[in-house]
Parts: sequence; structure tokens; C-alpha cells
Amino acid sequence: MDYPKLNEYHLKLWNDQACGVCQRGPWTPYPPRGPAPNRLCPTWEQHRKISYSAQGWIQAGRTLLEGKLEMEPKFVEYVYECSLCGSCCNSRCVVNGDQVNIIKAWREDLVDLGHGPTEPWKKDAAVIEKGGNRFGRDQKDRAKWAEGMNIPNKGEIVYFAGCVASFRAQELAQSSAKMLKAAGVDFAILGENELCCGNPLDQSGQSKAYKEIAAKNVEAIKAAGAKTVVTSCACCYHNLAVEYPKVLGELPFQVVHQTQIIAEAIRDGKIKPTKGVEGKVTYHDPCHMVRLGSKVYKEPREIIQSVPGIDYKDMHATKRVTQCCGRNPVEQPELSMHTGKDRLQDVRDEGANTVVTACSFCDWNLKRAARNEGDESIKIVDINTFMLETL
Amino acid sequence: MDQKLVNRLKEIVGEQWVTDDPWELCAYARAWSYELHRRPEVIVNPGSTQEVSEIMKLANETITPVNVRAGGTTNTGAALPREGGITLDLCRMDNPIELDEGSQSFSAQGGVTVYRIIKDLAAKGWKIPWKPEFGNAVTLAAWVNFNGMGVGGSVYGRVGDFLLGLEVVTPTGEIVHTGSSHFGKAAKFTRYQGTGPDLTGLFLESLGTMGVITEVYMRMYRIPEAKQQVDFAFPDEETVQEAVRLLVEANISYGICVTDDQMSITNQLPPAPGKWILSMLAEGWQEEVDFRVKKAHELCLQAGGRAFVEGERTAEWGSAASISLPYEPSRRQISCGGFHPIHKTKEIFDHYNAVGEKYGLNRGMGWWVDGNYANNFPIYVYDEETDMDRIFDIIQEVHDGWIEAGYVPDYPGPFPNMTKHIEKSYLELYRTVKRSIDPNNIMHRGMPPDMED
Repeated sequence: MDYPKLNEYHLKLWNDQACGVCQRGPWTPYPPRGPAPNRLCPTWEQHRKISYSAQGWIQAGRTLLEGKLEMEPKFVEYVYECSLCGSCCNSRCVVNGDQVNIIKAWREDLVDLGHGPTEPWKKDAAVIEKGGNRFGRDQKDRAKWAEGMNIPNKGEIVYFAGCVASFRAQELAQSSAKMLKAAGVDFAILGENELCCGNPLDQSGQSKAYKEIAAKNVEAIKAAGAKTVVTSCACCYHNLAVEYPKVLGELPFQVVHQTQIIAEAIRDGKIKPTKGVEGKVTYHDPCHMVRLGSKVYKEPREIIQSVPGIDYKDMHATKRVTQCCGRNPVEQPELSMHTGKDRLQDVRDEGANTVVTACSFCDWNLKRAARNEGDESIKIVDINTFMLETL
Repeated sequence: MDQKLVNRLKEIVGEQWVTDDPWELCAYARAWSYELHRRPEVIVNPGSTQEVSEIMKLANETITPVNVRAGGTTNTGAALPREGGITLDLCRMDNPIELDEGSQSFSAQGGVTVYRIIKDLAAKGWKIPWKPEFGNAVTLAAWVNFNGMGVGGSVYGRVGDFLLGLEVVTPTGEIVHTGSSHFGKAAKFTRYQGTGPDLTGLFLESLGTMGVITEVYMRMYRIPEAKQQVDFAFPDEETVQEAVRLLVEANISYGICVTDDQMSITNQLPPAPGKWILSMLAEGWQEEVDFRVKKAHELCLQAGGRAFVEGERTAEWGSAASISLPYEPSRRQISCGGFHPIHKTKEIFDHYNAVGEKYGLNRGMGWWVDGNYANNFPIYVYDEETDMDRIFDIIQEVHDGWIEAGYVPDYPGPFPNMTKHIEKSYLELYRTVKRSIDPNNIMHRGMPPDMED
């Protein structure tokens, strides 16, 4: 069998009914009884062809396993078009939530056979292997954001900043650290021992490299003496909390998203927002916090709504059925831009002036989309920065 | 397909909206039906009515078959091309829906999904009469092309009963408007007018053989204050048939749907609490709904049924959705529905059941009421390793029996092909009209009724 990992989903591929629920119209819930997003599949929204949806990939995958298709470079690129946001996994069809797993398995086969990954993902792997982070920056600079903050390198709680907050948007890491301190949390950071969480490797089927980097991160966390790892980036959270145990088994520490700690601190009265904010506020749920194995959606709302007099409203597609921010601005720039603009439109439709996020990538993508549109009317802010302004 | 033709299509819609990559064609070669893969040669995504017109002119000039692909949710197989050619995917044509609250109607492009219509209308307190039974991915144009039917048909009828007009591109590329908007300065508020016969009907239920529906004008209704479902169990066909007759005569229901106990077994649902389950839906003002529900109890008990007792699972109308379970070997369902007078229900059921017994097929019978008649929706379930010729023989046998009982099919094919049962003069009139509008027979070529004897 040429595609053993894809073939593990044989039953799902063969039973897929080609019913369209993953890209155009879900079975249930039937409005107005429940959540009903305007859009179901970001890739379909961009391409407007059913081939660019879970249905399309599943039909092509089946046909490949039937021996009626041959992989060729353009076909490989097609398999790498999905953003793996998992929106289709909500569709309650026969595939039953395995859509993302199917595409990831297919990509793993492609890598094993030497057909994949495509160039941007290959470049990610090379950069991460060489430097330990996804931007090709010097790892020695990884903790530059923490200069002057007196954060130790060992402790029971470790803050895992992630590549984006460490190198590209250091204010995110700084806000996170300030909020943790405000909550009275004693925490450490890994410094240059913190490596990329490996998300691009996992997404692109480079499973061997992913397992290696995951193991290195786990070793570094263990060496720091951590019992708890805190992340402020939803992608890092997903990888450490959900994906690492799949490849490494049970971890010797727990993984939490920072919003879980801050919400608790607010409940305990350790953090008390005193200043209000102007205008209407909404929250964008990162895919990685509400589906694909996680359910962190109460805590961010609890935090935001603790702000005195806040005018808060959820967007129409939230929690489990949230809409993707665009996810991969480097590897899938067009899809990412298209999807980010769609999500910004949701913010506008709600009449919100501020959209709060809890993920470095969501923050990046939404800001990128707003810049591209020349729209300065919406404030895009990460949850820690937002809260610091209210203390 | 000739590369020159592909290039000309690219000139019309832009390169990114034309594809003939084999891996992409796979998605368009399958629909939610028993049909085996039928692959188009090229997929084109037009963005406007004008582009559709240019594509049709080109296809007509080069005598290239054209099939329009919508949600792909019909289990009849009609979503797939009969002969390669161009498959048009109208999903780019989904401009915002235009509401005309003054005439309680809306217009939308053909590529808009019913899902979006439901959402957008609901946001303003409006609704379409009922949702498609095979999922919300269906596009508005396809809904018209099939003259969709559903559980709300008891009071609202089928799609044709609340359709107000269309914008259509004919197979030769002309753009035509039907309904009131074709006249003077009239808006899109009525399907009928004094300017000749109802040309909307020419495209309604035409299964994509008469033209490309690019815009649909439709009635909308206020979301009612109250809605309620009541369920009853019946011991046999006679009693459930009588109950339906009484309910229709009383004209108190929004929808009536009936399923047999086999449907629960086939769909791996908990056992049905009776041989037949009848669900009646009522909607309207609260007092009105209360009255209708009370009356339904009286009439169903009078017919020999009993109301569900507490704890009995509320009947779910979800045959199509719940068939989507993982089986090894994988399963397919074949539906062989049609329409029959309510008093023929027992006869229709008995024949379908006898055929199912004879061949040992998993099955389930369901039907709902469209105005004064029943739309039966029986399914047989088989696995992919079953010889399809055998399945087709079985379906033919079912239809042969039903034809004797006086039913009419919901579609003329593709299987079984019903052409031979059509009155000769009717068939000739149909062929004359089809030749006149589609002289080269490019639209959904091979779809019955047959153009030649």
C-alpha cells in the first residue's frame, strides 16, 4: 500500500456521502435554534469549488487509493491547500470529525514518499532545524523580550512564549508576562532552550522532525523543573496540550492556556480591572482553543467581561463553530489573507470597535488583513494587552 | 476536451475559474447518490449571468454538453453529467439576497445556498416555507430545478407553489426573465400575468435540461410565533392512511410526515414505538397551534392511533442524514420515490415492502403530504459491493408495481428511465419544446425524458 496512513481512514473515505455539509450547509443546528456560521470552509470560500473542501480532498483521496490518480507536483500542492482549521469537523457527517486527521495523514504519506511537503513547509523545516525557530532568527535573542523583567530559567510554572511572541511581536510576550505577574504567578521561561512548538511540521506531515522537536521541548521543560506550562499562543497550546501526547505519550507536566490562569485570578480577586474601555468589544475564538481537541472558551469571556461597564457582544460564529483567522500567513499567504478579511467582516457586522484575541497567529493574521484593507477603525488586540489597559 | 475550448472558457471567466485537473474533477464526479462516478471534462465557475450567457453561446456553437452542478444533494443522480463536457458550478454567483418586504418576496442569485437564505431571512424575521430534506447545501437554482418538496409541503406545497419567477440563460445564451419582472416596470411579485402561458414552469423541475437558472424570485413568510410537533404511533397501514386523510381534510397541519418501523432499524435508531409513526407539525399563533395540536390528537385517535407517551423518543425526520453512518463495506442508498393519492398509500407500501422482503434489502419507507397527495420516499440500502444491475432491476420492479397502482414518479430518471410510460402526444410536445429551446441538446444531454424513441 503506497499510502498507508491515508488508508487508515479507508472506512471514512469510502463512506463519505459527498453531501456538501462541510462547505456549504450543515445539517444542524437549524437556525434560529443554534449556532450557524456564515462560512464553513475557508478554502472553499477562497476557491469556490467543492474540490477545495473536505469533500473534495476526501473524494480525491479515495480515487488515489483506488489507483485511478497519480501524484504529481500540482496535485501535491492541492493537498497542501487546506488550512486544517477544523471547521468541517463540526459537520456531523459520516467522516465524524476526522477530516483534519485524514489530510494530515495524507501529507505524512506524501512526505514519506518524497512527494511532499511543498516549498514553504520545506523551508519551515529547514529554518526550524537550523535555528530552532520559524523565523530563522538567532535563538540567543529568543528571550530578548524579557530583558529587565527578572524572569528565572527554572520554576514549577514555565511560560512558553512561542516564536511569534518571542521574535515578531514581542509586546505579546511582554503583556503575557506582566499579566502573569499581576496574577501573582511565579513563573520561569526557557530562554534559548524554548524551540518552535513544531506546528508547521505537524501540519505539513513532517512527523519525524515534529517528534524530534516536540521531544526537545519536553526535555527543556522537564529540565526547568516545570509542573505546569502556560502558553499565550493558541497554536502552541494546541501542540503542547493535544499533539505532543499523541506522539510522545503522557507528558510529565500539565499544559494550560494563559486565559485559564488569568480567569482564575480574577475569580479569586487577585486581578481587579478598574478602568473601562470605549466602544463595543468582541472576542475571536482561535480554532485551536475551541475544537481540534480543546474547549477553552469560557475563560476568555470571563476575563473580558470582568472589565467594568464593558459593552461586549459575541460574534455570530463563536466557540466550537468559530471562523478561522487565516492561520498560516507565511505558508498560505493568499488563503490566510482571504480568511482574515472574512473574519474582520464578522467583527464589522457585529458593530464592534475592538476585537480581542488569545493567539499570536490570530493577532498576526487579523492585523495583516486590516493593514491590507487599510482599515484602522477596528482595534485588534491580544487579551493580555487589552487587560493591562484596564488595570 | 479540446484545449482550444478550455482556453476560450478561460477567456470568458478568467483562468482561475476553469479547471480540468483530474484530482479536482473527482469532487464533481460524485454526488450524494447511488450513481457511480461520472466525471465531467472541465469545471467552470462563472461569476455573472453575462458570463453564463457567453459560456452557453460557446457550448452551443461547439455542441459541448453542459451540466450544472449545485449542492449535489439529490440522490437521483441528476447532479452528475451524463456525458463529460462542461460542468458549471454557480457557487460564485451568490450576491447578497435582495428583500422586498413590501411584496413579501426576495430575489437571490442561483448559486446562493438555501442555508444562507434561511440564515439571512431569519435575521430579518422572515423564512422560506421549509428546509430541503436532503440538507441545506442545495442551491436555490437547484431547488427550483428539482421543484423541491419537503415536510412543510402540507400547507405551503412544493417550491413551484411559492416561486415568483426566474432569470434564466437559455442553452443558446439568451437571458430571459420570467414572472412579473419581464413586463414594463413591474417588480418580482407574482409568477402569473396576462402575457401568455406560465414560462416559469418551463424551467421548474426541468433538472437542468432547459437552461441555467441564474436568479430566483420567491415568496417569503413571517417566522410564526409558535411551532409544535406531535407524534403518534399506528399499528398498520390502514389506520395511518386514515389518519392522514382526516388530517388533510381538516387542513390543520404545517407538515405531516410518516415513517415505518424499518426506517429506525435501517438507520440504527432506537426502535420505533409502533409499526408506523406519524408526526404532525403545526405553526402559527400560539392559540392556533394549541387548537391544531388538540384537533390532531382527536383525529389520530379516531383513526386508531395513539399519542406518544412520555419518554418515547420524538420522531426524527432524518433518514437522509442518519444514513451517513460508517459501514464496512460502505453503504449507499437508493431512493425510488414518487407521488400517489393518499388513499393509495397501503397499496404503494405493500408493493415496496414485498420487493424489499423478496430481495432481503435493508429499507425504510417515509412519506409526507404535499397539499392533497402523498410524496413517498422509500429507501433501499445496499453496500458498495452489490451488483448495481441487480439494484436497478429491483428498483424497476418497484416502479412497475407502482405504475399499476397509479403513481407518478418524482423524476423521469436517469434510473429507471420513465420515458416509455409517458403519453406519446405529451412526449412529442415536450420534445418539440426542448428542441426549440436547446436545438443542439447540449443541456444535461442524456437526462430523460429521451429525445428519441
